[in-house]
Amino acid sequence: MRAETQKPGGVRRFLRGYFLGTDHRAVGLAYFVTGFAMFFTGLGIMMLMRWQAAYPGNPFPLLGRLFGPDHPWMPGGMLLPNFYNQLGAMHGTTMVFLAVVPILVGGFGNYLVPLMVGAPNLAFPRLGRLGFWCYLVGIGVIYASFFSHGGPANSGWTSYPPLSVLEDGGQIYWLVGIIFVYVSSLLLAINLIVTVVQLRKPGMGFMELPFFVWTQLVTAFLLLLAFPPLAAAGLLQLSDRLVGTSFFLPGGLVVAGQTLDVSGGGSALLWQHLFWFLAHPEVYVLILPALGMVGTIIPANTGRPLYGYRGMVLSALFMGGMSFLVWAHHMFLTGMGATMNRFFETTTIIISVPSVVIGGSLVLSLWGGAIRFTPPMLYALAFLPMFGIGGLTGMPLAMPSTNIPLHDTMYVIGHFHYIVVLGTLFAVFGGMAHWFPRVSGRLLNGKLTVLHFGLSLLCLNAVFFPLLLQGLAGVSRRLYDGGASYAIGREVFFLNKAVTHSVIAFAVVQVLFLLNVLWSLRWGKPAGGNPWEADTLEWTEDRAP
Amino acid sequence: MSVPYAHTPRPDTGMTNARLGMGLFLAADAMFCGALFSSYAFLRTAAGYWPVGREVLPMRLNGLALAATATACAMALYAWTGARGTRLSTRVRAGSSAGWGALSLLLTAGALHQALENAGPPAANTFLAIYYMLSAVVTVHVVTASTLSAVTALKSARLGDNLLLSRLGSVGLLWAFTLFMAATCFISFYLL
Ligand code: HEM
Ligand SMILES: [Cu+2]
Repeated sequence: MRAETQKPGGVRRFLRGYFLGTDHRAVGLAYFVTGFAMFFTGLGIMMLMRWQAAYPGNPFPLLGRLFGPDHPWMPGGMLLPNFYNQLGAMHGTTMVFLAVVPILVGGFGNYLVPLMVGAPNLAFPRLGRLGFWCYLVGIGVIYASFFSHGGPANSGWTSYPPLSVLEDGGQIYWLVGIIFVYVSSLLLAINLIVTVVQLRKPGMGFMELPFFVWTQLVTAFLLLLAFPPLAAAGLLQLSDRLVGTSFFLPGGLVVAGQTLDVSGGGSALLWQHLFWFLAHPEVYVLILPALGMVGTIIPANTGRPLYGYRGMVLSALFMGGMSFLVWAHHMFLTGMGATMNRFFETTTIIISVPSVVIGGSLVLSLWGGAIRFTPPMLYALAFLPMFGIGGLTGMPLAMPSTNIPLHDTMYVIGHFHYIVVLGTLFAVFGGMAHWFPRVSGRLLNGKLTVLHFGLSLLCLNAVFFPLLLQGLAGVSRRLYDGGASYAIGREVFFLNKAVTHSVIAFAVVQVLFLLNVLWSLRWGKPAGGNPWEADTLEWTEDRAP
Repeated sequence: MSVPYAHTPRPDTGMTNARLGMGLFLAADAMFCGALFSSYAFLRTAAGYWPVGREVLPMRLNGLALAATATACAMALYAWTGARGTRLSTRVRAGSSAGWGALSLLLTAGALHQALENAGPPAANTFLAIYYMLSAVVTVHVVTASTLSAVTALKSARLGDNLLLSRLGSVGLLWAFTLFMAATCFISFYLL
């Protein structure tokens, strides 16, 4: 019953399971592998961008040969400004929609939730697979835009109009792809919720669900309810582009000296409202399952139950509900008026309370435990302060007065990457180290894992801390030349090179991780049934294949 | 390995998996349509001038389509609540629900045609744009619900009692939501 990959003839079995499997473990692994591939793609894109930001105007080493002098993306290895924008949009889109959410919910969720609630499979096994296919199609469509006439979408992962409606590139691919991703996440969310509600072991009450399952449940509800408005907005934007409507275009817009020939009457702010109505809950989709994983790894390595389980569950629920009421804190700069600003400022400050409760409970769960510093535990322990930095740097952004100077600077980039990279990604690595034995029957090589942990922690802080500083000095995000041609932020310009080299170092360290996984699949130490002596069902209850 | 509670309700939740799944799907659908109606409200409040629906749009045909949808919905719910009766009557009710749905589609097609002729294409202004958009979304719902009704009617003889009841329930829910959408649409354009 262990993973397909390690058996003789494993590749064929793996491919079968990958495309056709209806077992939740096969579907989960398929999401996981694909999500990780997309993560490395997103990282590769960021390496290109960072090289450009550190050495603006210099052609890429090596790539110049690969791309001839007339290549539309990088003629002679020179990254053009528009292509920088396109890569930026693809980095954000890939990381959020195609990598991290699929890994967290599609991968860990599909694989572990049924096991943890004692269900034989997902409630709708074939829909599980269909959802995975939609995800693959979504990736295909979005990435096909690289080969389209104008190249990929260039309006950022936020796709703000008017640019997104007017640009002549891959925005259509982006919209169609996102609609596929939406269908995929809809199927995923319904499946997980029904599995938990209907297929729980008889007699297992809701307050007996592991904290991890709770976080997945809340996450599934967020995906279920927050994504549809973005799909609707995507439909409206498609119609603007294909049918010539003006949902997002005001009248009298002048582009390149010409008044646009559209009826007008629409509003670019409408898009922002619809987009952030999804995208704020989406950030909780990015962090809640990570909290769930850390909340599983910690008790397994302290030998004590979570401190304040009930409070954590209630906080997760409150956070989920509240996340629908904070979206316009991304829009303080749009002139919504003081009343609206005050409302969204208040809700945003309120929503930080449950995060503190959960974070605090995780820390208190360490108290008095016999802590074992196993590799997964290291990631979980590092998660706590990193999540803390991410959260605290968010506070100034919650208030209009401090948000206004920081809006759209590298500070924001630093802030949310502390959450999604040093927080979520670390939880993902911890989760991998923790559940790898459950999947493969073997342990990851301990030394390599610890090395990966230490070096990643170092490199990532060297990437994102300088970005916070640059942002405080006023450096904008999305700058093609890393700020070289701007008067502002001169004193922090030199940090660009350090950041870039740290990103490259981080990428090299990931090779270590990949090698570790491949090596351990074959030669890792056999793990036995329950290597961490954990008490959740996925370890204690053995299941027939 | 068969999945539990696919055909019979789970005792403590009182639902089959499919019913809960349909409920969740409709919740997502409600958010989807809610976003479109919010866009309608946003555009309308922001607009300097908003046409009077009764004067430019085919109110009569839209009204008749709404009535046909309502009948289809009533039939679908009747098939569900009366499913303990004979197979044949269930089949007739579910089938006629599909028929009324088809009629509603025909009337909608007529309405859209008239709107295109008399009022103009979607690109003409945001009023028409959102009218066509919402009409299209309602139409997709009617198509889906009618198809599911027809399939259930055709297959009803071969489904076990519990499964049939569960299917009819899901389709009934979908029809109820569709009617709600269609009515909201009508009210937004003609009565408000
Ligand atoms: C692990 C390595 C990562 C690095 C080194 C990295 C670095 C960066 C940098 C430097 C930017 C700013 C680019 C600019 O404004 O010019 C950026 C933007 C962004 N990143 Fe990352 N990132 C990483 C991972 C992630 C992950 C895991 C996520 C999401 C879960 C993510 C989501 C985003 C988003 C949404 C943007 C904004 C894109 C836009 O401007 O539209 N990144 N990243
Ligand atoms: Cu937000």
